[in-house]
Amino acid sequence: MAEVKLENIKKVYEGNVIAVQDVNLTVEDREFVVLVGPSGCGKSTTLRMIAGLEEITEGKLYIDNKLMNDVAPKDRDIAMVFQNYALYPHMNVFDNMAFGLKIRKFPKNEIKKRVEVAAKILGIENLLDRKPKALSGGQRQRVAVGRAIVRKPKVFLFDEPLSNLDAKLRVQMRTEISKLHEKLEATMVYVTHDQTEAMTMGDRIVVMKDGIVHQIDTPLNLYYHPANKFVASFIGSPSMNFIDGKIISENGLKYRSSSGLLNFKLDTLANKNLSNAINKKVYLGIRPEDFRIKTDETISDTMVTFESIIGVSEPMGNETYIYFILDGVQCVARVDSMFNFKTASQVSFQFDFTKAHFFDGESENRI
Amino acid sequence: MKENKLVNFFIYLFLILFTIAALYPVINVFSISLRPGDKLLSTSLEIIPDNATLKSYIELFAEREFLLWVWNSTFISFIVTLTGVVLASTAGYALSRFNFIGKQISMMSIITTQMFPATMLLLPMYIMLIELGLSNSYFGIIIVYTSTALPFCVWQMKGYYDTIPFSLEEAARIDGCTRFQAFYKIILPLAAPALVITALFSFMTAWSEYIVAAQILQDTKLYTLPIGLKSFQSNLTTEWGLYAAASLIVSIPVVILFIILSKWLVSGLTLGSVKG
Repeated sequence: MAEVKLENIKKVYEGNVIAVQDVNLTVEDREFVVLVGPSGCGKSTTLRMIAGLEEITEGKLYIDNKLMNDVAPKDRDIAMVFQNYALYPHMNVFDNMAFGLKIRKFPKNEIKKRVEVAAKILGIENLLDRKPKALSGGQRQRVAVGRAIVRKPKVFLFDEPLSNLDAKLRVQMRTEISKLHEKLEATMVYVTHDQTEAMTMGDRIVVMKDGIVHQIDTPLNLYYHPANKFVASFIGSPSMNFIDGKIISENGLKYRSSSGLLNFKLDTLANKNLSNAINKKVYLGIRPEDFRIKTDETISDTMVTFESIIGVSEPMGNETYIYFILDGVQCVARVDSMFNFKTASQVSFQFDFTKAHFFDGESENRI
Repeated sequence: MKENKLVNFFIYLFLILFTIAALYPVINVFSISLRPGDKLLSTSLEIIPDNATLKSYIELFAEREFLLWVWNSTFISFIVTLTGVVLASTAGYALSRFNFIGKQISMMSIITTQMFPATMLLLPMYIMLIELGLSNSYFGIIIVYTSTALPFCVWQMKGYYDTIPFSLEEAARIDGCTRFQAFYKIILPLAAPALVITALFSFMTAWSEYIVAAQILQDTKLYTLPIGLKSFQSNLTTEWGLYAAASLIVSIPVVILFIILSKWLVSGLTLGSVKG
């Protein structure tokens, strides 16, 4: 059992800079939790507090139900993989991986056995004699992971481990780390700024911004039920489109965008909260994949149709991103690659408003 | 091609001239050390004179206190080097890695001490050592040498530590090291080039220093090599043969040290420009 529990964790740096505030999170045993957010959001600071590399200003940290606030990093039984790998340059791969065990005075044959097993798992058996400088980025990353797994720690911490790798290798290592998680059945906390990594790897994702946790949920719940505008815009690529407007009451509930281009009834929506937002500013959020090009005259009650002029169209091969202006806001639609429009051509778009999200204009929380 | 040859010619001419300028005194001193009697000047251009003799060398070791001075210098230089390396490596680490009250001030005052010429500090230091009863002692001169060498060494070490990523120590601390273990098991081995420079600088400060030693050490039994050498000169005569022989012997350890450490020196001086 290795459960990591953060209670009201706060970090204040010199000069009263608040880096992290009020983080409450329980990472269950064997769970893979990803901390994600833009740079400077406090995700790495949170991870470093779990590791013991940063002091906790306020709040409590428990690992395995033991209070860890004042425990030295070496006594927390954790392992960490760093962004720059942090391999010891003067030691070869074997010694790098064995270092933690040697310090802890493991018997020699046990060290050898564990390093060999880890090297085999990671496919680096033939590199054990090499120095880090003679390794490629991907190999260094494997050694760094190897150094973590030989110790069999209670908790694995990853601090943006893949961001120094090229795109192809990153995808490969991503799946390898996921596999490793299944194989080791270990508790893992993983920090990244890449929402794709977060979505593909995490059992649960913690979305952070400006030192505050915005939402903790499973990847799909974050995608379909974002708690607020920030989460909605951060998760998903390309990110969600937001159009300013108002909820009005005019023969029933209606949404009207600020210029009036979009104007549709919301009666069929079961969302009761919308009636509380009458005459308030709201953001309408539509995912790029929820736009479609109007091709026939099928009329559905929940379809909203509008016309716009194409700005740029980006063919990606399997799909095409189309940029256009809707109500003064730059929007992007993700459509089938068979559509190929010239710049400045006029196109009819449709979207299903039952798939749209509404966010409060002030609090930016989802309505 | 022609132009290249011409340029090369001048480059070599330039280098040869300066090599001669650098080597001539050494060769000359070697030649003097082999001459019988105390002839400083000679019209002969021979490096090894006709009547060459090792008499000066033999006298140096057999009849003079030269070996004692060698021992004194070696002992003092060794202690200064050891103290310099231990203090500079730890102080530099603290200045590089920790934030503490007075850090800026201490760094500034360390560098300020380098702005005074040694001769200016001579008098206050001398008075201080007298008051402490440390003049004319090993301990006194070791304190003076260490304190003159340390400021440069501390800054030098701090600068080098600054180039070593923090994450290496952090990884070590998570791997099971205490802060101090992370320092001496991971950081110190990586700082070897800087340590070598620190050691060399401390050693040279003590090995070839004359002015301070001449003031503090009066007992001939405590003489270091530079003052010992000078004692071959008196008001009326100078024993040039002995002087030359001793000079050569004094410089041998330094030359050997430089040759052994040159690999480290080059990598130490270029570090920071290329990393990876």
